[in-house]
Amino acid sequence: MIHGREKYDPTTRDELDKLTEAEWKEALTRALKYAGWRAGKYQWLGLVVDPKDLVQEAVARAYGVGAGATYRNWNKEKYPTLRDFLVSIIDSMTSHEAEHSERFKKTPLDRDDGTSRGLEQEALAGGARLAGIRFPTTPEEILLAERRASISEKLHLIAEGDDELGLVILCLEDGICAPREIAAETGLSRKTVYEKLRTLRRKAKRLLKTAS
Amino acid sequence: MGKDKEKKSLVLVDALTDALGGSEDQSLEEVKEELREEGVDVEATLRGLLTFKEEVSRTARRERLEAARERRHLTEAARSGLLGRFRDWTKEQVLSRIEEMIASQRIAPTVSYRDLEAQSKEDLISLLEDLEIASQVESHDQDQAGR
Repeated sequence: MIHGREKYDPTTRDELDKLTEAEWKEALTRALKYAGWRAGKYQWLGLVVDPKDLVQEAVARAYGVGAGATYRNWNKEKYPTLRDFLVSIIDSMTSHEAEHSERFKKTPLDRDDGTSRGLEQEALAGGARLAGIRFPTTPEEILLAERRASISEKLHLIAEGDDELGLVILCLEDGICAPREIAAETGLSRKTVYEKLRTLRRKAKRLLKTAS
Repeated sequence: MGKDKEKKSLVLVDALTDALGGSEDQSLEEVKEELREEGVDVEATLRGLLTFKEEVSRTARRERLEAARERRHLTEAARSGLLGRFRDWTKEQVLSRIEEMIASQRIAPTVSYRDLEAQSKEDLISLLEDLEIASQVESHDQDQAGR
């Protein structure tokens, strides 16, 4: 038996094709919701990303035919359900720690004078971007950077009078986002964490709209 | 804004959108309702996504068949190119070449050196041919991936 280097595992494709339409619908619905929130961050960067495009690209990568020959193998131990799998792909596509620049469709809001192009590259270049974050130089970049900074302050305003929500927000500031990890970090029950996230979700929608 | 603050903002935004995008605590209907509140035509979007999924699945199957056909042609061409090439080699030469290929880590056969020495020269030639073919196919795959 001879093994080559890691490549797309065709059993992932077989596993995907075995799933029922109902399973796909549920996973796609939940992935769409996740993508909607993830797309929101691009709005703060002055870009429009359609959540549907993110979900489509995740599906294409799962099938081994993503943009630029990208693919993802399905580690079922880590991501037991299709929803988990698709969400993990969207997460890696949109995370600031993503290793590769992404190729899903994005529409910059301001491109007439070309000033947003630099920021767009910065926003999408993944790990290299993180290492090479530039100080904002143009008035537009400074404005966008300030918007991001204001999100933290606004989140704390939302949590005023609710210490438990404040604890959840502190976790988010440290990059801790999984409910079970937030529960472990704060000592709150998982149920309370979910309640606080629901509250935050409701209030954050307004916040994010005003931030963009 | 300094780099640390900028990085912290990105971490926060990622964590915030990740946490709020979760739906483990919601029923499917609740998630759909939330999407509708955002102005999403859920049923139409899902129909579009399912159609896209079917198209992608078909594309993937077609690519798989084409890749399999290409590999078969490549394997056949490589095998005919190797025909008789190692016939005049000594067992030591064949063993040495096999060890060289394993050491190059281009491919990893699940066979130990002790097993190799116990094999006949004909079996070793057969293994070496397989390794050479696998190596050529691997190089081809890497070229394809690099395009």
